[in-house]
Amino acid sequence: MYDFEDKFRNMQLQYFLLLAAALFCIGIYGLITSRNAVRVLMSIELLLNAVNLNLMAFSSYLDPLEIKGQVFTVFVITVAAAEAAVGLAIILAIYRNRDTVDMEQFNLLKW
Amino acid sequence: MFVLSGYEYLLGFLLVCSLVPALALSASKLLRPSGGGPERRTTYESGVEPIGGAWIQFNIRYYMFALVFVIFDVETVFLYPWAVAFHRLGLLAFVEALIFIAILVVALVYAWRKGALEWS
Amino acid sequence: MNLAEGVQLVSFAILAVMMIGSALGVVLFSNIVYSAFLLAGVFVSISGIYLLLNADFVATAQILIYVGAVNVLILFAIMLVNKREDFKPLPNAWVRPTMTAIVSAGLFVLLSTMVLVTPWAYSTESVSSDTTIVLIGQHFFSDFLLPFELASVLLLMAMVGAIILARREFLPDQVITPDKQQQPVLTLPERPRELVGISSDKTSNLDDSRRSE
Repeated sequence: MYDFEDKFRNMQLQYFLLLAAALFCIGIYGLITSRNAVRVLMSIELLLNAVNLNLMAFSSYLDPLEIKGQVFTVFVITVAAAEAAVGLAIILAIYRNRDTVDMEQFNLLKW
Repeated sequence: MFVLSGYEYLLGFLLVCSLVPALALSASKLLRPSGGGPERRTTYESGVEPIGGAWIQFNIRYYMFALVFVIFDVETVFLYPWAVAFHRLGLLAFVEALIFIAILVVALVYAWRKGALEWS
Repeated sequence: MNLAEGVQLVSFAILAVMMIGSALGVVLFSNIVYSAFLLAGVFVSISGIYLLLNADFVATAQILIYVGAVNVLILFAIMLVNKREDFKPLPNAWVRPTMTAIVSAGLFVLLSTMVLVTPWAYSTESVSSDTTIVLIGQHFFSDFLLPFELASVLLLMAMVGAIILARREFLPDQVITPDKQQQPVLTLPERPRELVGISSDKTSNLDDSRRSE
């Protein structure tokens, strides 16, 4: 029979946090290195999901009664959906004007 | 600490589901005759011959429908907890949910007026 | 009846490997369509991890919104900008990926030491007897009421903005005819519908002629 301590030792908060950190770093790598604008947006989605994973892990392990982290996650998902809709529309508009999705070509505001 | 109950069935279903495609493909590989001529690669029976590649540019109308779908999908996710907890929330929550829906009806009317819902 | 601890650990490991592998695929594949499909894999495995964290409603919302809507939107956008283009090679192209990889790995080391060193204040309370969806509904209409209403405004703004951005089709090589200027004030300059009709008619004619041959 497991006691309470053993249960926590088996599925720890740290695993989830490490997983989220790895996902966040992969997202950062993709955000900076990719040249396709759509892939940049996909990397931003990865970042938001890493943050969500953190929130969910905290809400499950540190705040299981109120689960405010889950409410936050729902709002973050909403913002991510709105961001994806507008971001992809911006990419479509840029593509129509410049005829490319290469991030290196979007340099009108560069000095 | 996992407390949700009933998910062992989900796990069982997932295992069975992951077995199905592998079993189907391997069984048909065992049963079917191997080889076959060049006709094997042609379109089956009454299929239409494909013209051009699959990597074509799609019409923007698909994007408009997907966009409207995303917005109202998110609305569903917000309204679902309200519907489940309806009896505990009372009249005030009903009014607030109506405000929420009204704001999104404005979005629907806008999309309608702009023709985002038509396959023109 | 509940899942055994070992089963939970194994499912967590499988989901974690699936998630990290698909996320690496999203970033590293050169074909963006593969990346988009692998992104769905990342979302599905994250939803499974949410289930392991006792959050059934958020897991469903993750599937519903991310896999069902956002990923489809991304796929449609990829199809819209789908032109085989080879990006011009940059001078010193190897510098940026290497530097970024070093920085990302450093960030991961930093974050993981922070995670492992911090003494987390585990809550000893048992899980609430209500289902999560009822709790979330009560939060929406008590202390998260303003964000809840603002979310609808945000969705409205996102929809208006995305429709305006996506529908505007300037045709710079086309002369503006006088009857186009008599449009109502509120309509946006768009590609006239006749063009679409003619082109679709042409393709259907083509199909008919092919069929009759």
